[in-house]
Amino acid sequence: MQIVVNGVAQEIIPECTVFQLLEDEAVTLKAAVVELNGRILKQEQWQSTVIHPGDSLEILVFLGGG
Amino acid sequence: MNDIIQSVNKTDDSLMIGGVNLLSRLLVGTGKFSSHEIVPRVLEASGAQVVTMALRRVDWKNPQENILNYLPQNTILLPNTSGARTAEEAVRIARLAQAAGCGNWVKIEVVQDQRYLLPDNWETLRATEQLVKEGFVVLPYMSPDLGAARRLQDAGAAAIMPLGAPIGSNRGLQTKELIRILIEEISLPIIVDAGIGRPSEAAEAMEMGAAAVLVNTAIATAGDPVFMAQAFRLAVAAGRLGYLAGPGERRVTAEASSPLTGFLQEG
Amino acid sequence: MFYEQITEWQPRLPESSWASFSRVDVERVLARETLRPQDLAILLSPSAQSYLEPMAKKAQALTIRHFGRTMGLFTPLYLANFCSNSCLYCSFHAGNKIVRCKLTVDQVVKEGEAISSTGLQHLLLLTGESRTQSGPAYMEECVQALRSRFASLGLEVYPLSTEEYRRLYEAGIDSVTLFQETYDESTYALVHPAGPKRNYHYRLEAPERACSAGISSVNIGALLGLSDWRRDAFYSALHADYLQRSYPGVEVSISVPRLRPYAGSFSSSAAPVTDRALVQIILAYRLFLPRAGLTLSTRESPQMRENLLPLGITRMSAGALTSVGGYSETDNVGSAQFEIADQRTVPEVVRMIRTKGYLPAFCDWVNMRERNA
Repeated sequence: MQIVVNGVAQEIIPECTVFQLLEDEAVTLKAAVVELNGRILKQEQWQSTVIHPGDSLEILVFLGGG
Repeated sequence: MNDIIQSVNKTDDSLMIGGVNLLSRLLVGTGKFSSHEIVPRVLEASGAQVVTMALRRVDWKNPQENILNYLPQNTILLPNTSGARTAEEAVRIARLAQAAGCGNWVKIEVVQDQRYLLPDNWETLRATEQLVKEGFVVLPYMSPDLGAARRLQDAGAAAIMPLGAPIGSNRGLQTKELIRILIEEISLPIIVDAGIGRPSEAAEAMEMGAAAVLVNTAIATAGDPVFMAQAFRLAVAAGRLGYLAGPGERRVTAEASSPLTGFLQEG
Repeated sequence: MFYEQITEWQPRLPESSWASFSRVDVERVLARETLRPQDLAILLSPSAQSYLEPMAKKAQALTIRHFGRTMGLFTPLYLANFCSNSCLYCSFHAGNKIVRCKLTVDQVVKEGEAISSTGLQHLLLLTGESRTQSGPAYMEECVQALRSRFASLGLEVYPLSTEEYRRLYEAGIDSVTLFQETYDESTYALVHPAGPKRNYHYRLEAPERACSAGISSVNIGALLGLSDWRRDAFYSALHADYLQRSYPGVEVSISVPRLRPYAGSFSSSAAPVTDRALVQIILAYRLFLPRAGLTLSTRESPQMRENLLPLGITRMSAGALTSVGGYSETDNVGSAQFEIADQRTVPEVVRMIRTKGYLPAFCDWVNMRERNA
């Protein structure tokens, strides 16, 4: 199904949870921040939240900055 | 050397921000380093307790390791809202940073000008008002304008961070006179942020009475960032000591002739 | 409130501290750009007396930089001299047998016409403290009657409530003058034995009430000579500084009235304010408050006013009368509050100012709020 991740259209498997998506993409889970359709998703919710077609996700991490 | 630094960072000259007593008046940014690996040594050399970082989208092609992995355990995290062009975007980034377990400090950085990266005081004020309401410890980065600083103070900011010169310019305290006015008129800590290119400039800011300085580019892009971090640590301590010691040994002496007050002699 | 600063500074400034400041301290202060309260104290100390000339040079340069070579002009109009206070130093004292009167609104208009015909545009309205004879409603009537004839109107009356200041502001007042007389509480109690003026704190906080009511200019000061002048000058300047910081939009000025002879004698136990001391006070005020206005009244002699003019003064009265009425031909003239030492007419004062190389400013500020044609 089609979703948007970090502004880019992407194909992912149906019935995918947020947790699975992050695992698949090998993101260091420790301090990533996830926003689903404009709402912040707490880490506890990642395993239980299922992604639907057309959803928009922002996956952010901390990088060096001034 | 460390003894000297230790004796300067006395608890009775600590800087209180957001309920925390800071012993170090040097804040360090983690951007522009050649690699994340050098960051821990730089931070150690700097003695900084407060460190800034940015929130960015994960780049799948070049996944970088999270900077938080490179910060010492008890560092106070000061995520910035860089990337935000409006107050709404800044607020959103602050909430995201908090959700990521960053604590509740935030440096508001709202820039609409992509050429000089000068902050937008108006959007910064709106973001400050909102985030103070939500319980954040807000440190707004701003263009040194007294009226804006007063409004930020009234809005509940924890400190004011005026720029010394445009970000990355390393040109020192171009806005010196305006910063001096802020130090004189605003009762919040004034933390000079951006533009400090040399340890002497950090010392100068501290001698003027700034509460602290934030340095990023000058350390990250130095030939030897670890040495430079140490130099800044010493400069900030020296400048602070100089300020506390009370400057102005210059004197104006009495004069022989009295054209303006001579009339008092007569009768 | 400002009182907190007084209590903070009192233990730091015991009687002995004045003598402890040295000439070297004074020299260091003169080399500074921005002065702190401790520097102000040093400039008011005995050691600074040997440095009046360098202080004067600096004060003159600062004043010219911030105010130009101009001298604002104004004059007082006493509307009424009924008073329920018994201030020992004032001829309006309730117990004094003087001619008491109050101008009718028509007479106020006549006085206003006479004054504005001299060219003066800034008028200061005064009354004694009597809510029954010259209450806020009466003041409002007078203000409304004079509004159209003057660029701005100031008020120097007894302390009013915030709401009363606000109503007078709406009526057309844009500046308030109020002297604390003395910041020393025990002297204050001594010289104000009866009447509403006994309330030290209500008076002390009045300028702040005026500022929060929208008044855009306040003028404060102590009556020098009532109490120890060094201490009163210190707190007057600190008060001005406090008002500037608390109300950045308000123009703050400070006056330097010296105790003068009047009907019924009072002699203060404090050291007299010599000419030398007055100069020292004016210079210390200017150096500590580079942007505050400095007002000189007609209590001083013509010679003295001329000598003081270049030392930091920004505003002076001209052609003043402190009697109730008297500017125009009228039967209703009440006794004067104090002797006018400089009795020169407006044109004479203007000529003097020009001779000293200053521009007399008849109109410096126009209150635009709803002016009638």
